[in-house]
Amino acid sequence: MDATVKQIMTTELLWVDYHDKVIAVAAKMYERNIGSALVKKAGECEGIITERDILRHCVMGSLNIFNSKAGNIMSSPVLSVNEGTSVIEACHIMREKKIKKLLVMDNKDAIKGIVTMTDIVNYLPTLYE
Amino acid sequence: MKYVPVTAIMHEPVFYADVEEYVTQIVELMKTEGIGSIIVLDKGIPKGIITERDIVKSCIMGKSNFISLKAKDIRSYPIVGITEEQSIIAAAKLMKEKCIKKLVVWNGKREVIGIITQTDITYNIDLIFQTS
Repeated sequence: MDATVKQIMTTELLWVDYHDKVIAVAAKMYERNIGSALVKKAGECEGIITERDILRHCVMGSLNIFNSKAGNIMSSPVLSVNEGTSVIEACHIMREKKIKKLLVMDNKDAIKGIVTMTDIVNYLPTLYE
Repeated sequence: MKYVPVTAIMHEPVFYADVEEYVTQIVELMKTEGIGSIIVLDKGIPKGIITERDIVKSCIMGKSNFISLKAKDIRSYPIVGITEEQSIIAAAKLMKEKCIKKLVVWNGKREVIGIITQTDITYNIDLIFQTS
């Protein structure tokens, strides 16, 4: 299997602001059926919020989902790979770093998409079609 | 690619909660055991699954009622499962079709023997491609 992350990545990204309320971020995630949101601060990607971050900080933890801000619960920095990285290598990085999502960058370091475990699992059966 | 049965990479033990259990208790169990899902039992029979997504959603939708929510209020039902002799690729296909991240693994008697997740598949990608 020599596919690259560029071939399987998700290019539709959900961006939220560092100061947005977590409840608003969660609502956007469910509205668009996306499992994570990228957090922007001063025009830069500052972090990522996943359902697990919301669960850990606001349901299991002490932060209030209605008052907390995206910046309080995001994971940072966001790990990234080049778009030419193989899918297998992306799996190795996810395992090593214990993460489920990687940002995908082009050669100019511009964000092109995100590759998730869902992208990888959805890709596997297509190898048989 | 190689045929690898789901049992090679599924994880166990599986954790259970009764339909009448409070979601707050389930959150506590998930926290202490470091698990991402639990199977919901109704009179001892598996009748649903609760995942991190179900909990976060219920917290947002339920708002102040969150502490009064029970397993039966937020479980995903029916359980989507795969039999133990099926391949990892078959599991991936089923997850894709159903748009889910976890599958219960059943034995021939329809007993739950494990859970297979997208994480299990991704972490074990080398097992699937080791002969290619």
